[in-house]
Amino acid sequence: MSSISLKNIVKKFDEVIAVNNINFEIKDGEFVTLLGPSGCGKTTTLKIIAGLLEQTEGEIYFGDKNITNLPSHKRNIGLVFQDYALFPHMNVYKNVSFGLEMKKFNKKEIDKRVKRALEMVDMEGFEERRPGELSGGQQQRIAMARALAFDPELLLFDEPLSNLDAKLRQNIRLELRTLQETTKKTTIYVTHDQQEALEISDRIILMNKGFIEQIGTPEELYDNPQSYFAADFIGSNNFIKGKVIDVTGDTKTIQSYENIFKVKTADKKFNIGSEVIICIRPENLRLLTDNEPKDNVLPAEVAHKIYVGSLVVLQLKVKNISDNYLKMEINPSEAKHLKEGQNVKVYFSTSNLVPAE
Amino acid sequence: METGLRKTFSYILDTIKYSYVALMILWLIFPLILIIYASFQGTLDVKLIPDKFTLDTYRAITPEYWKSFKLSLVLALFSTIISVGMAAPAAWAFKRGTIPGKRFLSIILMVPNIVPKIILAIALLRLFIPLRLTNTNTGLLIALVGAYGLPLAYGYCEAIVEGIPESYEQAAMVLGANYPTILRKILIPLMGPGILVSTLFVFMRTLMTFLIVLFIAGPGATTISVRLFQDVVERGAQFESIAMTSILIFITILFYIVVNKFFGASALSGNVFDGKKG
Amino acid sequence: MLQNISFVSVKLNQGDFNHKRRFFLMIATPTILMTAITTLIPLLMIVKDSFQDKSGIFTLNQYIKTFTDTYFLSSLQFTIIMSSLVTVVSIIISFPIAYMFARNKWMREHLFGFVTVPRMLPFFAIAYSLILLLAPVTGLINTILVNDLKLLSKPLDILFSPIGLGIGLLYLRTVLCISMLTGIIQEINPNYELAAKSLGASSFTTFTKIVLPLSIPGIIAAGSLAFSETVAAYSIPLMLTGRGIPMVSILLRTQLLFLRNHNLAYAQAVIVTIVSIICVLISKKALER
Repeated sequence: MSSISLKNIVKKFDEVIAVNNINFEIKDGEFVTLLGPSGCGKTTTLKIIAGLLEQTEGEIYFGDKNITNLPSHKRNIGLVFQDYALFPHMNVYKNVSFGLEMKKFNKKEIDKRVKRALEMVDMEGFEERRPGELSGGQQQRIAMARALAFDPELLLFDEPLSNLDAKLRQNIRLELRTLQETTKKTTIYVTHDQQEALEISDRIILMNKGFIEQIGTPEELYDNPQSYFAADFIGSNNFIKGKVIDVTGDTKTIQSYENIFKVKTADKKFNIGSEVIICIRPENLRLLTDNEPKDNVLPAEVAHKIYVGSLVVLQLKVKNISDNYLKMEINPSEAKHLKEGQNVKVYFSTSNLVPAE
Repeated sequence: METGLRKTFSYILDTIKYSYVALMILWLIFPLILIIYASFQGTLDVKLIPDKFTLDTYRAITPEYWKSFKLSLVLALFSTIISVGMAAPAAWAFKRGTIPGKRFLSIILMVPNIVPKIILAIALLRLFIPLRLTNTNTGLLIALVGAYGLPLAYGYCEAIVEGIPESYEQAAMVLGANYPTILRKILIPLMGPGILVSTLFVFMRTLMTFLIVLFIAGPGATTISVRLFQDVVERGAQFESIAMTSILIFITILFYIVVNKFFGASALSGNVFDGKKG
Repeated sequence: MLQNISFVSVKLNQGDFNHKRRFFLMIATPTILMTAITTLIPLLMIVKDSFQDKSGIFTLNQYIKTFTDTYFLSSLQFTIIMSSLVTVVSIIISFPIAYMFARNKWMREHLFGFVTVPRMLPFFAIAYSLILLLAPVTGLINTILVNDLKLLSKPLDILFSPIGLGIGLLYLRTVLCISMLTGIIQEINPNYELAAKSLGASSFTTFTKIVLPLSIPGIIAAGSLAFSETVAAYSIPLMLTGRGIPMVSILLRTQLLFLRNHNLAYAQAVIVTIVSIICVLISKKALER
């Protein structure tokens, strides 16, 4: 069993609480991302799981085994560092075989496994090279090979791609995900890049200021953020502040300035009087083209029209909503007739409700 | 016309620049050149154009001097090994580990670098008199290690440990290595060259050091620096002293060349930030 | 059954995290103890003694005597003036070449040895060479000026005077300042100078408006270190002092070794130490920025 559970993990540095009562369970073979802004505690949590930091309170279990007090070198975990940490005085072969040597495999077995690990990351033939001679992307792969070679129970990644350029990042992260699906290793991945997290995770644990904000699949987090932080951090969002003035079944009626909005949500925590924020994704705003009565219509002025290749992004100025612009994404074909300064009507039918902070 | 003026101007500037550099270099090396030059003249009446070129001064070096020199070497050797042997692990423990009261303890370690050498020497004297350690080789060794070699070595080792990212040790640990293995396979190979250079530096400076020795062992002390100093005070400049000093200068130059050859120029400039001398 | 086994195995490993802490402390202890015993404790003993007189009674007499002793005060004044002068001059002559070393790779690789080697020399190399150079009758300078070039009728008598002393101290401080300033200037991003030049500044303006202001913390650091070393300087003054007021450390020596006024000497030592510590702390603070 290579599932992991963290129970009530707290980590204090002097007075500062870096990790505040973290609880979660990860299933065998799952790819889970710890996502959050810098300083949210995700790397601290990862290091606690690896045994490199000692938790102030709480327990860690691998399957049924309580490993809370187990020293790091006995935990059988593969860790890929942000700066790769390839031993500069050893060549690629010695680096990758290091974990196997620690486990006291014999020479033949080590040879076999090193070869296989290098094959997995597409780096055969690099055995004699030194880390200093390799490019960033190559070093990253070797770091992965080293972590995989000795067949650990758990794989941990600490922002492994943040030192690579954008195109390389995109390519490698998909390879990473494919690799994980092939090897079926339980994986915990730390990143601050929400796009990355959405792309490759089975589940995402969103963290903020030492707390867990929300846990869910990428779809759940994107379509159903439970807090303003989650709605703001994941993807783009437009925000309209208001107050609930009526509740009929699942439909909440919200007033913001002179505007009335109707939002459908099954969440029972919003009642009359609740201060809420309506979250609308840019792709869920639509241009009103016919005169059929619709809910949630807003008159707006096209402030900027930005062509991004596969989409057009419109920045809309709306009266009495907020000082910000509304961001809207539409098909280039739909946008053809629009001009900057033009007045349009937009509406939305899909949105989220989160409590106002 | 304009360009002509500009050209002359920059020509003058360049000349000033080059002469300044030449003058500074001359200023920096005149003591060495003078002493070496004088040592081959066989007389204290040093002339720009020597009367004769002779090795007499070197032949005049008394066996006493060589005895002193040997003592200096032995003391420097032992105190260096002890100092580096203690400082390297301590630097690692301080930089990597959790030590209760770390902040307070590191202030203690800073004391020898902040307090002037003469005061340290006087203080040591004050300590050694009731303990009857003055004028003994043991006392000298303790003094050289505690007040001179150890703080020096610690400073170097601290910089070396700081230069190695902690993630190497962490990576090894997660891959299953326990502390002895990490030491053997990671720390020693990576820190080794730096520690070696530092050891050489500590050795050289302990060899030449004067002040601590003068106070602990008195003018009768038999390390080479004190001996040379005392002779000048008692008998004025002697040409065997000049010869011996030349030899010390040669050793220093040799040391520089060796370190430069084997460890590169960077090893030398990196060691430049330490504080006190003389 | 299985649970019991895992419980036991957890117990056995429990000590490991605390083990680490004791382990670190253990290997750091020899160094800490050694340093404390050879430096901290003796210093505290001296401070304690400075507040006593010969019979051991607690008194502030030593300090009162020190501050009312005109000889000590004039020596202190001389020391501070000498140190200030030496520091200022050494910074001025060291800075340009330090800048060149910092920015010029060729110079660093081929000429920096001329700075490193003097730094490692025993102190009496400079003292000796000054004796050879400036001795009233046989000194090289005087031989040239009086005998060969016949520029002077009487030899220059500057060897054991404040001038000779100053030259010796200046030499050592120059070596220190060049070393420190080179490293410090190297830390200043050269792109600032390039930016200034691209904005139209001449080399001179770049130097005065960009390099110098950015170097000020470094100059303060090097200067305060040089100052504190010179105030407490002992070896050079010991060899090169002759006429005139001695520097403070020489006075200390007389009190301690000849007059045997231990407590008074310790009080004076404490004062010198305080001055020196203040300078070093200023230096460290300046470097932190």
